[in-house]
Amino acid sequence: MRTTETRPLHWIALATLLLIAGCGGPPGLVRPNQPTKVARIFEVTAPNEWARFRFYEGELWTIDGSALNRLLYLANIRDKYHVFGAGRASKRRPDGAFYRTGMDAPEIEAVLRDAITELGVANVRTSNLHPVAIGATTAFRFDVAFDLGNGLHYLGNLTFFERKEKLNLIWFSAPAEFYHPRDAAHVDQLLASLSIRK
Amino acid sequence: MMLGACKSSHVRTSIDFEQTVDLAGKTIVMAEPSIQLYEMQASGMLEPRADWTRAAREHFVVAVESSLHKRDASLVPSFRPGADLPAEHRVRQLLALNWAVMGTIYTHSYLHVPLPTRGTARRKPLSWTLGPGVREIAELTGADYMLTLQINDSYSSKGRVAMMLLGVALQVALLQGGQQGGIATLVDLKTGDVVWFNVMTDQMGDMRDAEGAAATARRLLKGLPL
Amino acid sequence: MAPGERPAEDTDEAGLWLALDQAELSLQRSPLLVRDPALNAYVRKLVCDIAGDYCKDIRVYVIRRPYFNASMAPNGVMQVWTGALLRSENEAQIGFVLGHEIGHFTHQHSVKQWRRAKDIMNALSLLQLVAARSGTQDARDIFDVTQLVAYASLYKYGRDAERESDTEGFDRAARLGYRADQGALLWQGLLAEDNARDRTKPSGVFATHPATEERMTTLREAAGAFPDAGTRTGEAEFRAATAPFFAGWLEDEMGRRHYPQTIVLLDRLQTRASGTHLAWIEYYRGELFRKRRAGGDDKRAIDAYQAAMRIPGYPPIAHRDLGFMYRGIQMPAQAAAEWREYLRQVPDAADRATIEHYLAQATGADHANH
Repeated sequence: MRTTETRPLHWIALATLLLIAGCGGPPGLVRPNQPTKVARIFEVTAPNEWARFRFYEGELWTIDGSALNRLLYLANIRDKYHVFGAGRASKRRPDGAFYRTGMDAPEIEAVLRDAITELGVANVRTSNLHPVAIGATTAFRFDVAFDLGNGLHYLGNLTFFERKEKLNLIWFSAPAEFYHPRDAAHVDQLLASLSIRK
Repeated sequence: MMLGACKSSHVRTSIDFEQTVDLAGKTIVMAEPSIQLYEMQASGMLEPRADWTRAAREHFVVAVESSLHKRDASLVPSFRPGADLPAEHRVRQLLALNWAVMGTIYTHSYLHVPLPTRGTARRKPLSWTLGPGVREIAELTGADYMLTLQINDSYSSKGRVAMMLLGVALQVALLQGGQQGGIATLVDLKTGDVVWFNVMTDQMGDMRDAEGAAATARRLLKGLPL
Repeated sequence: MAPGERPAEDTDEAGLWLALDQAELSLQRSPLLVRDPALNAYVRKLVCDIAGDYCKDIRVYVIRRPYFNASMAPNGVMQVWTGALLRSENEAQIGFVLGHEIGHFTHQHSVKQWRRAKDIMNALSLLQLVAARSGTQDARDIFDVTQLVAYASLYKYGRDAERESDTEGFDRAARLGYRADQGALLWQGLLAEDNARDRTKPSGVFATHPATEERMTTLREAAGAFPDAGTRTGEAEFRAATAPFFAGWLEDEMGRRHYPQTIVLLDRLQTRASGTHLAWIEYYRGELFRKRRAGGDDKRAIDAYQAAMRIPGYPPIAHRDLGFMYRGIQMPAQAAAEWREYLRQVPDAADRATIEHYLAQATGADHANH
């Protein structure tokens, strides 16, 4: 039922598949107020408990299930690679949601917006892009909202920075109804605690 | 994506209730029920049948009503928000969230996909909610509880009826054609808590007639709090 | 049975209608449905004028998808995608397409096709797709390319049916006084775009009707039958009605990241555009070259942004993104100048903090170079 072109699966299905396949090992538990290293790049201290699922160069965290709250960490996205891992720019396929080293923040924001749209969600809206100092690094953060096909509206934000010519990001999203209002403050605290490995 | 499908119904009861919920005197609303009946062709393709569908819709509602009546509960008219209610309206968002929660419970509580924040037992306690925003649905319908059903069944022998209950869809995995299974939840319209959850993997009755509909309703609502 | 009339419940066609009803319900609830009242009123009036007596049988849905598509289902549901509104330059062009689709409806081509195709697996699998996919999590499912390829099996009419609809399209447009050559002009543009496609991606020209040279000949012949047709194009009205959305639709088009097609489209639209309309096209040409990064694109991008800036009422973000272009080729002084001009024109810019960050970087780098 899908087109012949390769494209990332719907992100809910993707996350579920990751969980089921147990990529990278069994899930763990993030305990509150304990500094936690993530994907060898990030370190955060969460004020609340999360389930964590590790995979290659990233992690997925959730409290109630990935359709209800979701913190996605992706590390070391390389020059010319698709931001969500759907391949690499080539002569045959030169254009797409590919990261390029040295891209300015608004262009990375547009790449991420298009990559999120590719996942099959509608009305992806990004706003409020602004620099955020994290130690000696200047990261950027923007708000991101979208709708599922059945109309369920999601809110969240996405933080990204370049380190050693590679892109790293943390994407939080949750339904606007009940879950985002409940969890946003905890995620803000978690992001405020973020430190980046040198 | 159905791992180790069981032969019989699973019943989970909310951890808030050590006994089951007393439904006596309560009203229940079915959210956006949508029934479609298909005739399976020899080629394996499913052709929708308008006449069977109309009959099944009538029979099933009657059957659910009768099942609830035995528990001294009653069914209010099914809740079908019209096209004029925009997607961003809270009620629409709640109904869409309902499906996301159902899919989550199915994944973690039934399929046993691990979720460490809910403990390590395979049988996870029911502890999911839509949040108190559901009171808007209570106000609109006058109901105490919301019953949501999704049944997916197809029959391989020629001439038998295939039935699909369509509402707002669950996660991709759950709508694959050809799978057998039914999922039902009951939501408390004061708190948003999912107080009951059932998965059915048995063959269903023939929904074109009243008897078959009654048998299906009984089986699906087995374990519904008394 | 008249077009739009429902068959009795116990017929096999009733099943088709059930599936179409389900699909319409999904359309009504889809997050991709464009609900702006003014735009909808405009498109509906256009459809109504073209449809004449059949106006009451048709329900129009404007869908936010960046591909050219306009199609009608036998139950009277008409979809007009924003990619079609972007690619049309005036009412005569979109009017021809709408008239053509109405032609399929009035001649009941798809119902007849359904009757012929009923024994073929494709038709039934289509219904399964339509019914099962309605209201799923993936926003694009009811509009997915694969979906519509399946639809195409229902809508893949023979040459006679196409000619019948083309004639009807011209007839209906001509009655309203529109020029007869606009349909072929649009189709020529779509053909050029389709020929430029990257084969690894879906084409911007959705193929409910294949864009072929043969079709072009048919169109020109059909147009030739209307030598006394009017001189209207309805360009001013079309521009006015679509102006608030034009930049957004171009943004959606860019989001496809299908640059070989987008540049063909922009070049075609540029030919007959003027004013702020043209300024937006030049701006997006700049954006395309800047993001494409092919050989020589930096100069093309700079030229395009500067062309936009020569037009009164150009978007100030042209300065911002020209600034980023200069940054990309290590010209910090020029970048800084553009960013300063952007912030001068838009003092309350939402992205001021970001631009100031890059300004500080650029002037720091600039000092380092001195």
